[in-house]
Amino acid sequence: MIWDYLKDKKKYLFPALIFLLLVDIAQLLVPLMTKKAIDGLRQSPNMNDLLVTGLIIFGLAVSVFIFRFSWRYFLLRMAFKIVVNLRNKIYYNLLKFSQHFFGKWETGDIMARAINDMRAVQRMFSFGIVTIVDAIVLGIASLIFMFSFHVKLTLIALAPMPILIFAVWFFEDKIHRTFREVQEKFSGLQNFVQEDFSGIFVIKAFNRELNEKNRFAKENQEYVDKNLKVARLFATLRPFIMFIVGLSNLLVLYFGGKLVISGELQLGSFFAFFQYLQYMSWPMMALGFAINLYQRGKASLSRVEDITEREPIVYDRENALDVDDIDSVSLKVKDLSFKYDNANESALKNINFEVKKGESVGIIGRIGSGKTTLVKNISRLVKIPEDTIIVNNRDINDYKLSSLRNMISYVPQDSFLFSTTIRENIAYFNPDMSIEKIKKAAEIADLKDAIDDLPKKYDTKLGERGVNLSGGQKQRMTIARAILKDAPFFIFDDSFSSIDTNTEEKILNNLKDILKNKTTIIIAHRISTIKYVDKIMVLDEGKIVEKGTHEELIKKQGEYYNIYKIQELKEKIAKE
Amino acid sequence: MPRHPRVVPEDNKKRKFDIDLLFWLLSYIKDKKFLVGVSVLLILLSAGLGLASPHIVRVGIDDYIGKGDYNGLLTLAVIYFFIRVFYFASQFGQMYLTAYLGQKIMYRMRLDIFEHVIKLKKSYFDKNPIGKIMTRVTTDVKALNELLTSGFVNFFSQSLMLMGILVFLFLEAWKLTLILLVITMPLLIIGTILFRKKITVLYRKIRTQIAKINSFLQESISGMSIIQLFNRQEYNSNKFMKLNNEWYNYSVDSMITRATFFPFISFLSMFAQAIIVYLGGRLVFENFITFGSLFLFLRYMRMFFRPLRQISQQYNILQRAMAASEKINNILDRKKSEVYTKEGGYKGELKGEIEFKNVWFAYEEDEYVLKDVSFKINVGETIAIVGPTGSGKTTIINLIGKFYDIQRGEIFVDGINIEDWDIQYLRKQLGIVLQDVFLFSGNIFENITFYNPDFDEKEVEELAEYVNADKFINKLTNRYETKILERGKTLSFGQRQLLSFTRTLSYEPKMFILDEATSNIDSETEKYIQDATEKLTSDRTSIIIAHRLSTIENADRILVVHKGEIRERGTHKELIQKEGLYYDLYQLQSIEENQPAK
Repeated sequence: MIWDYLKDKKKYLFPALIFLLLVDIAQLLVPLMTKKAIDGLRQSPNMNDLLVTGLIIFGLAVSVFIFRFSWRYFLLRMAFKIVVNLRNKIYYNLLKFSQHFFGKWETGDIMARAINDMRAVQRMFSFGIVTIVDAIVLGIASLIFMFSFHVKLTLIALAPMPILIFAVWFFEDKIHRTFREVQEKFSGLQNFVQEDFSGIFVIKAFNRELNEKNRFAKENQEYVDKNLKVARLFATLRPFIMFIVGLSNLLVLYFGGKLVISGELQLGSFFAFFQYLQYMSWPMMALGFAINLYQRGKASLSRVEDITEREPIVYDRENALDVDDIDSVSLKVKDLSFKYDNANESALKNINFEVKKGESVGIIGRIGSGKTTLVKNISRLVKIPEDTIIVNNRDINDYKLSSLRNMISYVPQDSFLFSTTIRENIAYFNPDMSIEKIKKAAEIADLKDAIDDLPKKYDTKLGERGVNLSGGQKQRMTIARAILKDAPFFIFDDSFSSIDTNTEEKILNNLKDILKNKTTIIIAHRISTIKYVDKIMVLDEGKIVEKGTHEELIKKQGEYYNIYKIQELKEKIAKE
Repeated sequence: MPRHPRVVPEDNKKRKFDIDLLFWLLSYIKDKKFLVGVSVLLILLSAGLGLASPHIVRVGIDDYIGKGDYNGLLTLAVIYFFIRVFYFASQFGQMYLTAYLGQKIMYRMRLDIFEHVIKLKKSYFDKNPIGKIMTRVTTDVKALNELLTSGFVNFFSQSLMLMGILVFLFLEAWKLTLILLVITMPLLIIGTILFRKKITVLYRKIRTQIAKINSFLQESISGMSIIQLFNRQEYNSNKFMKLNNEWYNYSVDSMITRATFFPFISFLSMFAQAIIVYLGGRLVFENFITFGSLFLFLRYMRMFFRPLRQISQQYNILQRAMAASEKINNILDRKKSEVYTKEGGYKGELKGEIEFKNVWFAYEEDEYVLKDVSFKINVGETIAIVGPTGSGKTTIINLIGKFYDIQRGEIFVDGINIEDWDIQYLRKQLGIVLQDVFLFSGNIFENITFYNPDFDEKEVEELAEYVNADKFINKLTNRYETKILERGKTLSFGQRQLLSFTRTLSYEPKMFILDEATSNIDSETEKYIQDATEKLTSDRTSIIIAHRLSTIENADRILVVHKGEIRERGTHKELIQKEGLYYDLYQLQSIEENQPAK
């Protein structure tokens, strides 16, 4: 699994490994030089030799500097490359997923994988590989040098060291886990505070301030306890490492000292031993550390791969077609039923209707009656059954997704805008659109004056401080965006809900010319929005309950008539 | 609740160390002088013991190994062993004790802030975003903790270590030490300053870039259907790649900076070693120093570079803590009388007579929500308040509980001006049920009793039965132990209202104030609510913001509120005959209620 990501990165990996090896060799030569100097001083002192040794150490210092730089340069570049590719792949895949995926996965979860898990993956590929390779190379090389001095002393000195691998692996993992608990407690504390401050009215109404303080004290204490648990682990691990290293030092001091006295070991070697011990303690700790990095990285990688290796549900079938007649659209919906993955009941039940070329249809109904689901089906944002939606005499499942969607100018319900300039938002379909056309679209959507009032006009960035568009203005932006796309098929999903009736009338009037030859579906909750369409459908609980023109439905005195009456009364009351 | 990353504007203001902050922090350790003393001692002890080890080896080399003294070597080894054991113990003690102190202080600090905030007036919570207030209690306190436990302690112990090393080295051979310092220190200082400068800028760039990547990703997820409907996949994917590449470039830059600096530090350390071997070797030859000193130099020099690096990192911690304490103090420093709910005043049993006399009220200056409102409610009456959305009905309820202060006019409760009441005592006797029932994350039992331990299960069950809440609670698998998830999203609107009825009833209210739900409620629950409402209104003064025809018709009197004024008042019959505003509202309600409920 991990090798898959390293395979094509050999041109970084191998140089990095070579430089790493060179660093370790050069580093390990330093104690050898110290040894030489000290032995020289004891036996045949020669200032020239001493100077040469000093210079060699200096030379080694310079080369260690260069080699260290080089291996980091290659290895970390590789790690960054891997991370960039993986992140690109996450994004690329998300773009292909349908509403089935986004309905099931929370944004927070996706983001957590793309951010937190990616961080663990990055650490595994950078520090993880560095540490493990460094530890192994340095460890083995140190061993070789030490053995060459004195086999028995090496074995004695290193006896306590394996404990380090175990201790670091064990404690570090425990710290990591406990730290997670601390973070959980911390967000528990945050939730508590947030909840209390949000529900402050109830707390005050019931006079529970003191009580809440006591409850908070309890949460607070639990958080403190968890923190102290981490503190205990930390306070054990680091001093313990020092203790073990100290133990090795002690063994060298005593046994090595004895060997020096008996003449079995030279004083220089004795010095060198201390330095090698210092070198050896790092690989031992690093091994424990690297094991954890690897385990965490692997777990995170598999969570990331949950996204990068997933297949989309809605996709172009083989030999998918372009829509042939791209200028006009006829639509036929036959026995369409649709159920969301996790729902008990169907959102759409046996829907049948037809929209001829250039016709307009209005859909009205309560929240949750299936209006939005219906238009999502038509634009294939979800996976739909075969042969239920026919556009230009062909099942829309046969079309390429891009070709089908090119035909549709869609105004969504939630007036979603991107945090970029107004200009880019309106020209979302084609960023190269001329400013004249953008202005024209804004004018049709009755936005011209509002935009002209902004200091930076069309180059105003949305979402920046001080830029506050009203709900109605946002909605009109999404209308302008759809106008500029100018597709033969317009879908308005409750697109006038935040716009007052006067402005609505103005926009509908402006749209008349544009929509004249287009096929249109308008979802609305206000009668005024759909008064002039060719036919109206009333949806309730996923079924079409009434169908006809405005006049017909009024005459019928059914559901539609009720909605009409309520709105009339509300308007009257507002004026009183 | 998943939290989404956002681009947070960086707080780059430089702060001087504030002496007031120090005093404020000190006020929290006043009663912990003993523990503070112990931990200072432990810090001193572990610094000393850490420095002692190389010294022992040095003595071993010069006095025993050099002279071939086996027994002395053994004694020394034993001493060395004990020093390491004590070193371990003192380090553990010091680390744990400082963490313990820090946690104790944070505990108190959080509790103080929480208590302060929860006592603030309701209007404070309207004006300040909850998230921001929350941060004061949680994240900001955490930043201070970092300063206390790692900042101060590290600075102290590392400086101590550094000084100790220098003293030892100077005593050993001051000339050699001086030469080492003169050669390496300027390089080290210049290198560190340059590095800090460069890496701070780069880190900030990387963080901002990561934030950009994250918010782009998040925005794309939210707007995915738009991206797909407008066929913008390729464009977006290129843009994302561009953002990623920028991140890559910054990361490589920062990596190059780090990959230069850290090897440079080790280079300096090795360079120092080269000097020690040559110059120190000469000194040994000339018999100025011993082999043991040479060892000591080699050892201490390695120890010297580490604390130096750590000290330079403390600056950032200090900056963060300063920013945090500034914000915490902002929240605490307000004049208490201005924002706290008033304490003290008339404490009497509420009879339930309410009078508004020419009341004017605005949440925001000069935007009056109530204009010259006057009415009187007699003991035992049931009053229905009707009117379209935004007419000011809920505000009337808020004012009866004195959650806000009025601008003009007077409000009397039982003939006593509301200003003279003990507010907490008054609120306790009002049973207020809001339209949007707020449930806490606990189980149903806890939500009814509001964590009041005085209730037993049987009492609660009786209360629930009285207001018909038991019907749905008994259908839940864990009944009263059922956990409330996501603020009660799993319960229906009507069920939440019934729960709220039970909660209110458990406080034995002298009045009943209800903001009826407008949402669709299934007919069965509707019936239960209606029945419970009748029971609750029967034996106490009741004010109901009414949407249901049955409630309105059952009321003794009706107040019709519109645009902040009382437009009509009277009984149902009178108002219908008038054929005014009430007549229209009534008709509207009739059609809406006749629609089949879902």
